[in-house]
Amino acid sequence: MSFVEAILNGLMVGGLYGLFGLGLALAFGIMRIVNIAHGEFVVLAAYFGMILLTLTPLPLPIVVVCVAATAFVLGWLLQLALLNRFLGPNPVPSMIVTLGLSIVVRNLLVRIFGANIHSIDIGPLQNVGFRFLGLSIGAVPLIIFAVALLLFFGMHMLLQHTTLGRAFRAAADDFEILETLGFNRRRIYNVAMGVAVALAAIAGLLLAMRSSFGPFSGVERLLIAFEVVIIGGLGSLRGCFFGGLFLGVVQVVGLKLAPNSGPLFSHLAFFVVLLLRQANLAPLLAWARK
Amino acid sequence: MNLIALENVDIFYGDLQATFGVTLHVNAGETIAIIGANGAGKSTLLHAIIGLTLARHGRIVFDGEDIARVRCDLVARRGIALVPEGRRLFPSLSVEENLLMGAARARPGPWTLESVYELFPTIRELRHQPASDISGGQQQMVAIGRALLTNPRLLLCDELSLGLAPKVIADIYTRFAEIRERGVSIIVVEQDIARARASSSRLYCLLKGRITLEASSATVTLDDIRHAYFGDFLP
Amino acid sequence: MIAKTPLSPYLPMLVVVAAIALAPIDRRLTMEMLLVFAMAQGWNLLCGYTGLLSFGHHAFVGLGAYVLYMTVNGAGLSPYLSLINSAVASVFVALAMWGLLSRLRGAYFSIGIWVLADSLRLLFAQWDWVGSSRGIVLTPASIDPDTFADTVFWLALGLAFVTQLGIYLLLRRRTGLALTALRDNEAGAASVGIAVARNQLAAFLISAAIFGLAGGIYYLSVLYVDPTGAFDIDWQIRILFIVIVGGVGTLEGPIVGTLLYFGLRELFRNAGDLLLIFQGVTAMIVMLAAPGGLWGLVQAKIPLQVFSTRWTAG
Repeated sequence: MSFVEAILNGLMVGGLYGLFGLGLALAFGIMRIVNIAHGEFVVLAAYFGMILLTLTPLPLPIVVVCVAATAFVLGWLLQLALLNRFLGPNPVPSMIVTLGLSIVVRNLLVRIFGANIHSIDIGPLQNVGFRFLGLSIGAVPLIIFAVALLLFFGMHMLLQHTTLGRAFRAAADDFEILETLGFNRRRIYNVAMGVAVALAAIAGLLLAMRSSFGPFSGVERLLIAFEVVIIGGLGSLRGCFFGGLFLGVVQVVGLKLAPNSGPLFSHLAFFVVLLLRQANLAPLLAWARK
Repeated sequence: MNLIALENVDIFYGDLQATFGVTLHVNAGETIAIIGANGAGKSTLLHAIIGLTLARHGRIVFDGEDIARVRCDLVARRGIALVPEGRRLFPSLSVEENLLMGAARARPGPWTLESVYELFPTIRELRHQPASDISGGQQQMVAIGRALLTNPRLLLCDELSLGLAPKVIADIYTRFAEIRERGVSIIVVEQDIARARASSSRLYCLLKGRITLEASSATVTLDDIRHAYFGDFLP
Repeated sequence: MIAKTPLSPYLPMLVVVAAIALAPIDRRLTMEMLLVFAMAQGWNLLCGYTGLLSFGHHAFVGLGAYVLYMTVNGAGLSPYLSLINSAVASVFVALAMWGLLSRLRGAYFSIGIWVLADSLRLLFAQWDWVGSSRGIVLTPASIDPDTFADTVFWLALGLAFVTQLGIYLLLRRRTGLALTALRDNEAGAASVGIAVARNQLAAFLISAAIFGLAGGIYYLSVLYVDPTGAFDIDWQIRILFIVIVGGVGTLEGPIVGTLLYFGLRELFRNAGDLLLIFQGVTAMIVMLAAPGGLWGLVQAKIPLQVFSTRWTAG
């Protein structure tokens, strides 16, 4: 794979990274909850999708919809039954509760599926590709990127043009006043968490078609989601998308340079961005202009 | 006829008692004012009425039902709306989006986006601006509009004049007649005593969480007010 | 003015230390318990008293271990003296981390340090000089095989004792009062001039040193280190479980938590992942029903402080 192809693949993986981040950002922006089990839901979706694909004759698009719907319900239940008890300015209790949940899910997966690594086989479609300007691009990565783009666009429409979306934004701003307008904030949170987990699930399922996963992959997904949010900025849909693309490219290119480095390159990119943000660049820039 | 009546209401913030046995009422169609110094408990009362904080003792009877311990969003749906102190528009939303949030869970009634724009023509041009980008006076109009769009029977106005120029305040208060015409009863909390008297038919004075005066706005004397406001009960 | 406490803890402490030192117990297991206990107290100082929740202290376990190995193998220093390096390196790295993370609040800090820990793991796994992902064996110039096991045990006991005593004394002095105020109300504490960030930094550095030493001692005792083990998130999860279930923000909590953890580990001896599932479920239940942990439940019934850090005026 040449460098340019690596970059293109990175962009496509980046779309999924953006979705991971978006799920986390929604939950944190709207209800100040950090779902440490976010990565485990991503992995759970991959396992569920794999089961559906191998045991039922359902076609892939239907499987994606099933997984998304199930994930929405799971997220909705999680918020309703558990996380709505931890609303308030202190993020620690919800973090510990979701950490506990992530440990339970992770080890249940080990119990049920073993510690092995899997990946989703989507048959002959895997090998379909195009040659474009001398570059080799797979059909699957393109479709995945298209789906990610579609989901981001869908979220944009939801947030800008529906009452629910406006309620999400208003809840993030000032949930007290939102309640004085007749909105039940807990119900809004339930839906928001459902959406967040559904987005993460779709992304997780799609990613499983491109790379392998196991019960312990959740941690890596969580950290990537977190890095996307920090790089892209919390309140910004566009930020999540471009932050994801950036990390995706860095990660894929990095793996080309050092194949066993895991998520090291995205970690390093994250720190560089953090450092740059903290550095007071103004006097530096002024000095450079002289 | 009583629209809302507070009976012996005690409100606490943790261990700190903010109001002591407050009793007041509003008749349907009336505008009453609550005056008092900073920290007297005026905003606290409004927050308790709408349910942002819950009264620990006492009753708040709205339309025959005690809403003292009913959740905020349910109280709002019964027909009470708040124009909060400091406006508190949603900064991430545009002017029109803020208004739409008022209409989203509204009761049936006469107020529509169009009628709000007629009431406050200035904000029509600003409809797509981010709510954080407009002036204080304009924000106040949007806040009132947003509350009106829920089609309330009772409108709670918390310190409308805070931080605004007199001309702007006057402009806003002239709209009250139109609001009243559509059958909305109003509780006005004000530090500006003249404004409070001019816009209401009755007023209450609050001092350190207790009602110290209930009077008709037209006939009450400045002396009465001063005594009640500052707790100066000596002859 | 420190008032006389009804129950001085010094005598019970010495009794316990003597009992541990003299009793014919499994020194290997006890060593592990002492190290985990010391780390729990250190992490509790940070989370329970300055309000900073860290998901990344396993970074210092691995760092302390690897620095020890690099010093011993590379410079030929005595393993016991090399532990000093473990502590120093941990403090320096912690200082650097603080530079990067201190402006992150709440959840951002917690996950940010997790990312740092994961990065260290990956970096060491790439570093050929320390054996990359295969790890390395400790090759000290001289170790007396007869006294080795005992020496490591004494080191662990020493660390646990110094940590417990040190943190107890710290909390009884003015610094400690500041820290307790911080725990109870950060904004309120800041408003009366307590330097929030400085106290958090101090607790962060202290806990880093403790974890570094514990990691050094543990991996000294097993004579082999690899990145997956030394930087395993399980170190952090174990400590978190112990402190939260034992009772965060109290000095007695980590004692209760450590005993509970090792008791459970014995119980679930043949079902490692069941132990983990149980840990996860318990942490959730504690948060839901008893956020003060087991010691919190005890204190609700009997207002007892074994390690009393209450002040009285005058």
